Amino acid sequence: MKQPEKGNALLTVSATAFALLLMVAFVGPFFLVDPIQQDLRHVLEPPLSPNHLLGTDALGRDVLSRLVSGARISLLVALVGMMGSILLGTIFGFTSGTKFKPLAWLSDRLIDMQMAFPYVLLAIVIVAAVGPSIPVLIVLMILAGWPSAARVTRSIVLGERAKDYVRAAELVGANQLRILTRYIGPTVVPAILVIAPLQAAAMIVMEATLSFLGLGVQPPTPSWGGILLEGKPYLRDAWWLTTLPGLTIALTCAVLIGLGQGISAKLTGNRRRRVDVLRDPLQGEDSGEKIQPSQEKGHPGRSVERK
Amino acid sequence: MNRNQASEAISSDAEPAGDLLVVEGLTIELENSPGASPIVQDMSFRVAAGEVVGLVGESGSGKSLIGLALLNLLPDGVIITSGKILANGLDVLTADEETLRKMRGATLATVFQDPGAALNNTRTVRQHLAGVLQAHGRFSRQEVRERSLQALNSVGFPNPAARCRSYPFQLSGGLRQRVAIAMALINNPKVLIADEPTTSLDVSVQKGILELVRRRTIENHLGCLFVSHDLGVISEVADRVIVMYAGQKVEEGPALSVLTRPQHPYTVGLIASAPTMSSNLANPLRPIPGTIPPVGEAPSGCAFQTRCPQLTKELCSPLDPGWTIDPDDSSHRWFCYRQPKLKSRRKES
Amino acid sequence: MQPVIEARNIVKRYLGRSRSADVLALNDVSIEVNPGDTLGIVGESGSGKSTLSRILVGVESRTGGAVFHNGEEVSSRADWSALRRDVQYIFQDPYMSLAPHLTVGESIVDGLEIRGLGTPAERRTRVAQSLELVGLRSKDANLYPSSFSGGQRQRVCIARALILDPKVMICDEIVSGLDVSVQAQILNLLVELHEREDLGIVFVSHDLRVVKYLCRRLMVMSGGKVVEANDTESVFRSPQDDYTRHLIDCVPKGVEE
Repeated sequence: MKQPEKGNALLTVSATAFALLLMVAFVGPFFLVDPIQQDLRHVLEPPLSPNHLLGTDALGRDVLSRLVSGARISLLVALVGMMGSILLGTIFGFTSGTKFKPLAWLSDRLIDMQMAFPYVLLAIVIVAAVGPSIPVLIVLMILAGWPSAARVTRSIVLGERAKDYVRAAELVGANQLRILTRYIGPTVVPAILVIAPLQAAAMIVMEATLSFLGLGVQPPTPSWGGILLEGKPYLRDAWWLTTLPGLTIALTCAVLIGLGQGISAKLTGNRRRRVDVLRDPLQGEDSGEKIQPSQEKGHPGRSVERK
Repeated sequence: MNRNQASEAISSDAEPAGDLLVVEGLTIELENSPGASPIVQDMSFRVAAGEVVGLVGESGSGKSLIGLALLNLLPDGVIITSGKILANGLDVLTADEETLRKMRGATLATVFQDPGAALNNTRTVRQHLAGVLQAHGRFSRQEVRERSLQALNSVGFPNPAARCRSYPFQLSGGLRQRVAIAMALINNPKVLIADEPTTSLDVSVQKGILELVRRRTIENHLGCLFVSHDLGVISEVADRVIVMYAGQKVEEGPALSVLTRPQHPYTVGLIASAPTMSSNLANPLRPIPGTIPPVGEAPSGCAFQTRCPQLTKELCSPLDPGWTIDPDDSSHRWFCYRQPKLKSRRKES
Repeated sequence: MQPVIEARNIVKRYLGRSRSADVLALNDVSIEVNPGDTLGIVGESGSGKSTLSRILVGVESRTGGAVFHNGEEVSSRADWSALRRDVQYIFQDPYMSLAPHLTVGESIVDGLEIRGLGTPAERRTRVAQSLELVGLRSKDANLYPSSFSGGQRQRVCIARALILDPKVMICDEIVSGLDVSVQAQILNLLVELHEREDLGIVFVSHDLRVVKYLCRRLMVMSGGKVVEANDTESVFRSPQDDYTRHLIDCVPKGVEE
């Protein structure tokens, strides 16, 4: 069947690409020229120049080297931001899903408020107050990202709560905490695994945006947004100073989104019964649940012979 | 002689001209699963005009796929590997898509278990019927209106002129099913496939629908294939009965014969395990031990051998069996691999 | 003998947009279940039978009336907790009533763990015993629900309910979606449990044939009210209410008539 195969291929490719990306970002700088090193004799050289595979910028700094160092910062910020926002989001998601109505209501309103606030505006306000720095950047990303994680978690919690197995757990005496941790909690994990890479992709773009606006990583520390910002004046004459960082951002996002899709396909493939097309119209009865030995009482064992 | 040939040889004395639906040697299998047993194995049967043929089976019997196969609408991953299907003389399996499209809903109509699935909640009953009509011909507005009202009347839909503007969600399950039946019958099909149409309905509603199906079959000279798991329902609605187990046909004959004098061990077991109005604890239900083999894992040879109380190893092995025919009623036959030393004749190869 | 569980004058109202759009799912319904009873609640859709059964264990709230456990009115959370020690409930859909990410053993044992009954080893033994009691194998405890068919899953749910030694088990349409032969297995299991363990059973169903087989007492419901309640034999021999007669008449008789 085609569907599960496609998911697996996507997953393998994206995971490999992501691993490569991480390796390049964290190990690369050791093999490359110093990104801060200026060389005013080789200014604005185009890609494929000698010694400079991707060219140099206005201060003669090697673009490739800057991009790789920028990757380190950008990826670090995005990944930490993603983890923080998922953590915060999941907590709020569970709070929104409790049976205790006032708490759920409060949690919902907080999510709404945060979502209504445009994050760039928020960034401007916060940076104006406390000044730009990497920790501030990470906090901003967490603030921008947690509502979507919260909504995903909340929708799963509310959906599962209505199901019979949760009621059955209540009937044998489980309290709300047990229900959330033992019964509903584990069902949230697959969804989180899917949105995590997608959130990270969003944060890569967010970091680039904020740095481009001067609110994020400050020069001379290289970051993709910063490199874009510096390349802006030379848009017409030195196209590589903006195009290359842009492409890098796009590619990284593609890899992360592919990772998310791949995980999603793999999880759906696992969950979907292989022959559920054969489910009998009889409600719930399984005419072909799995083509795997099921532990049926009384069944003496496989005896399918080749014809 | 395999089932198919035996079946054909025996039924060649029946009038083939009157058969609206002819299925021969139909085998349905899972794609890409070498070694798996077929979902439907070598299935043959006929439905004549004015008769209701009941197809009985539990899950895994393949009965639900037969309805889809007749329309050549099997889901992905499931294919017909051999057989012939003739609906009103038209070869379904070799017809092109356009011919098939014309046939579905016109010559060959279906009613499924869930009327909600056949109906669109954003369209009125009138629009549904108009849609079905216009898919198969050009009609003036007047004609559409008349035929729709007529169809609704024929299925006992109350007050059609007023209520045909209702939306499906405003109707009860029973009424929705009546609308679905009206949609099926409006183009005067020759064959009606009813796949568990009353399973999700209340018992009092069910009674009305069963009567409706019988009446329409007889009055419109339809051939109706009625699929169900409920023996009681089958006994009320069917003239002839075919019993399936794990993709194989195990018994067939007139409803009275099969249900009062079942011969195949599975049919016997099925009847013994179904509660009826006369069951009580003094006469306990006798369930068939074990469970139905999962799809694709039926043993070769007799599918029922893993659970059969009359299993005789040497006899139930994969020989080519024949049909055993009821000496009292030649249209009642069952397909048991044992070679019974009964009074009944055994058709020789 | 005191009823294990009793409900008096239960009313359940679902609010509509206006008073006239309100739905009265249950309208002054009373029911009592004595130890060792087999009581069938029969009705068509909308009769309120499932709502009533859920109200009896507190899975659904009631608008009016009261539920009694061993004669005492049930009001607080602790009361419900105590009631659920004696009264257990099996859901209709075996595919939704077991957590897919927990093994069958984990689902079954939870009731014991929550109440801190027994050591882990003792609990494992109890789980094994309850699986065997319902006709499954003790080593099935390590399997996930996806390895089981619908009928087997219902057995698991019965095992989960039984492990707490309830006096009464309420079964809400538990065989309605199952194959006939599987249904018969489950019904016979219930009969066996009733005879061996003196388990009281409340069996909610739309299928009169099944209820006739299993239950000694019968309650017929329609439109939120009880239209007839008597021992099963009397109901079938001489039904008092028109609706009951109609219901009996509509049951597909089969060819034995």
